[in-house]
Amino acid sequence: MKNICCFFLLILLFVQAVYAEVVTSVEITALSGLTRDENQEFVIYEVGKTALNFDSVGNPDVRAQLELDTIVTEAIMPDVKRAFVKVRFPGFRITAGKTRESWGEGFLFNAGDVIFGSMDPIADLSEAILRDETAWLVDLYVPLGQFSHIEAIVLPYAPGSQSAEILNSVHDMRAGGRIVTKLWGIKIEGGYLFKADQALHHPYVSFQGNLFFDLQLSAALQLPAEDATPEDIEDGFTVSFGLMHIFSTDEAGTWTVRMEGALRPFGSWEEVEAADEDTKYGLLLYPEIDYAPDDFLSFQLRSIISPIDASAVISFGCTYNIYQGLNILATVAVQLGDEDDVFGWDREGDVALLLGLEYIF
Amino acid sequence: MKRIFFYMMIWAVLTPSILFAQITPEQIIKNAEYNQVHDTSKSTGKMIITNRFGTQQKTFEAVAQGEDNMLLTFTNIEERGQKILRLKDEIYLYFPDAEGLLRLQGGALKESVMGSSFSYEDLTGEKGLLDLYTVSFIETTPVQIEISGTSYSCYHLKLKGKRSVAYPEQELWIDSSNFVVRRAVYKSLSGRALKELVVERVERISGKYVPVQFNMIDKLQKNSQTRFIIENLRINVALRPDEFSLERLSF
Repeated sequence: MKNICCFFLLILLFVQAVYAEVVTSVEITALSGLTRDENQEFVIYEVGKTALNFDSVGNPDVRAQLELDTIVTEAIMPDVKRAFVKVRFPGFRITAGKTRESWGEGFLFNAGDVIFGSMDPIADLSEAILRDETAWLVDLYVPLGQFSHIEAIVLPYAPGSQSAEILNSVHDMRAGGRIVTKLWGIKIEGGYLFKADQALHHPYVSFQGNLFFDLQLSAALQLPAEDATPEDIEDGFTVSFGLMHIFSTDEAGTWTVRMEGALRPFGSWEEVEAADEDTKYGLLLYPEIDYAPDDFLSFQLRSIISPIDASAVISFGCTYNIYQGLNILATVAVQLGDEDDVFGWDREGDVALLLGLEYIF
Repeated sequence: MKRIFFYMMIWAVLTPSILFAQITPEQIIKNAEYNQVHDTSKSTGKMIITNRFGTQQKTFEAVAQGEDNMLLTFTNIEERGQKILRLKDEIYLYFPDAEGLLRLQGGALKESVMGSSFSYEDLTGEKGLLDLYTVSFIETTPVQIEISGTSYSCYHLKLKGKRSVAYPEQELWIDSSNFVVRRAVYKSLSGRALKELVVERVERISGKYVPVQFNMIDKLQKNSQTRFIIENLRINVALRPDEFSLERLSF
């Protein structure tokens, strides 16, 4: 209850403070779902998601945003998704607050995402953006030309940390940097994050270019700060790759084809008996086909495939932007596989149907 | 008398060719591009997209430099903060929710911008038409066309793509008095009309005749069109040196 009061107090304070140069928007998504519980009984549910956004306008060198999210079921779960200020000074810019920084390359799988981690599979493929976690951070960005920059970042808390402690030991923070440039038409990125809370070094490189397809490749190492063994190096080596192509025909609409992969060269390449969450298979694939017959209707076929244990989640969705700001959403998803596979039938959420309305105003 | 008649005949035959030899199709295109391409510009505007369910409106701010560089920022609620950076051979898209950049090259330039009837190339590219197309007269004398009840005398030109381009064939009607493109039909390789552009309003800005309201009609979809309205165009404005950088895009 205290959290909810603080949450709405924060809204009121912010509204008072920014009454002038602010753009406000509200996004409401009402979803009706049908799925199976852990007893394989069909259950229905209703969930509402709201996002209240305050965006600053007017100053071309300062950008600020407050986004207050809630998930409403029988209970209300409030969250400050974003609360940041971004300021441009001559020669550099600073971002401070709770927001997102996207490092590396990849829509779902991205070994270069050393901040949030984007190598593990997810079960819900219905969202338009599959990775949008935010964290408290301070980021210094120094441009070095049209396509190049260096960046330094400090994260006082680990992303996703549920700790209620405001004061965090300096031994539990994370810090790092990256450099991004373009050479011979290829975007090249290299960076590093030290995770003091886990005592891990996390360097990475990413490449992005075009050869008929838009292609990307990232590789990262996660090494213990002390007493690293060859096994640690092998376990911490990850690679992601992907290709994407958009094409259209005169009369048949627009197609987007995407394929991404998460590779752990020293992971398990044979199916593990009684595998658990710690089991890391050598390969996961994410194929996606989007088809938009016209400018307002689109269909998405997405899947995450674990070829080693022959399991998969398959999701088919449809979005219809029928009026300004209004989307009609429909998704059906099914998991295929055995009980101890990455995905599986006969488990909670193995089949799901989701219908909803999303309105932005 | 016979000699006078002979000279009159020569005069009658040669006069049209002398008159129209004064301007070539290439020169007409160059004059039209002078009106359309600016050293630098800043503008705000809106796209009104109409389909069978009604209309949707998207507003934007745009900064452009010459033929190749443009930064478009959407300001309507639904896409607020999404940006498109168009450079010579590539597009960068910025999505504020993901704080992510997406770099597209090649065929992606031909895709629709935010559900409109305009492609990225319609908005910014293919202005160096003579590099990409061979141009010829369809009619050697100006023709009269009527738009919204007003009649215009226009050169009627045909453009054929020299290599892979957004529209392999184009038909243009360019106003003979001020070299504004009044109407255009964009065609596929087979010659089928894909889109039709009709310029509805022209303003004189900084000595140029600039189309500020035009309608792109999708010929393949019934009741589908996008009206593009430029509300505040300033030409030859000072731009920051980093205007078309990834830093500006991701801010």
